[in-house]
Amino acid sequence: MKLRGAKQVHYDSGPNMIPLVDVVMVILIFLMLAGNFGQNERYLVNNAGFIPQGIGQQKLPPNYIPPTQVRILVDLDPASVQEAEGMSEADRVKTLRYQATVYGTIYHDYSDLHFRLQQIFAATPAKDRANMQVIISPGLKVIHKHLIDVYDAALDAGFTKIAFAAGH
Amino acid sequence: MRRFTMPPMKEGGVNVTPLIDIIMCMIVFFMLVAKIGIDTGADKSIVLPPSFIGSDIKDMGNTLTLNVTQGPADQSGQPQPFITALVKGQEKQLRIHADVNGTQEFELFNVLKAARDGDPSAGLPPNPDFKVIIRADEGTEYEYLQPVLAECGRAHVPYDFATIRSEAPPQ
Repeated sequence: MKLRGAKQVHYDSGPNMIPLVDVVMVILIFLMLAGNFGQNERYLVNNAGFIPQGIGQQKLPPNYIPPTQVRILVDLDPASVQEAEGMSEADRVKTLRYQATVYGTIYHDYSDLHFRLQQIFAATPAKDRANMQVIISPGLKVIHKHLIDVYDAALDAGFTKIAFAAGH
Repeated sequence: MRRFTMPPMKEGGVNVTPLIDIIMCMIVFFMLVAKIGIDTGADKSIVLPPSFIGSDIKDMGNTLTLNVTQGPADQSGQPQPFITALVKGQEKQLRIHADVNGTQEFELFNVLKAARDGDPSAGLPPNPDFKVIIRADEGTEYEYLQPVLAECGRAHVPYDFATIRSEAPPQ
């Protein structure tokens, strides 16, 4: 059987787009593979400035008012340290928990600590809030993940100046 | 008068014009969004801690990214952090202190100080907006992190912590 349409003459209108499509596709694939879309990363901005004492000592300005300090002691939860004994590094990080002490009260989870910090912030007169400083004082074995949790809680409670003290 | 008409057009194959339109749009999108050739020296093997309140840094030009992990103890038996950073286009290890030919060298402090206060011998102008981004592994103990923060304080350089975005606060 013969196909009649196959023998008909074809007229192409405009330029040949096939090479363009090939090149554009290669560019597209290159951009998709080479592009660095690091949008998942976020940064906890530190506005604490420098405590004018100890290392990095500076001359105090004439009308210097020392900041009101809220000290948060962060330690590892002893029970979680026992649980994590003998575990691999990855499991150890997941198992370890922290306890935060604010004004003598120990908080074992984020929501309680966050609530307490919110209370402290709300109880401070508005004019004094800018001069409040949270000092996170971690134990030497406290892991970075826990510090970021406490930092998050303080930032979300409204504090803007958050500094770290030497480990205990 | 004789009327001239265009010959009837008969195209073979698929019409690729909509395909090209879409691909062009995608190329423009990727060219705008993708950060190609930007290397901050970030160590991708570091597992960052999650944070739900972190923000974006618009200007990465005034920053130095420090990768901090737990390193081996020094000669005196003290635990030392293992710090790497991209300094003058090269990945370098920056020690807190090192004994170089009998003299104490503070590599991290020297780099931070030069970046902030400038270094005329290297043609580096002062940069008061300079800051450090600390990329520490989520399992890094504070005894390894503390010397880095202390050196930043000593050099009067502010620091931010790199985290991974979390949608909800920790439980």
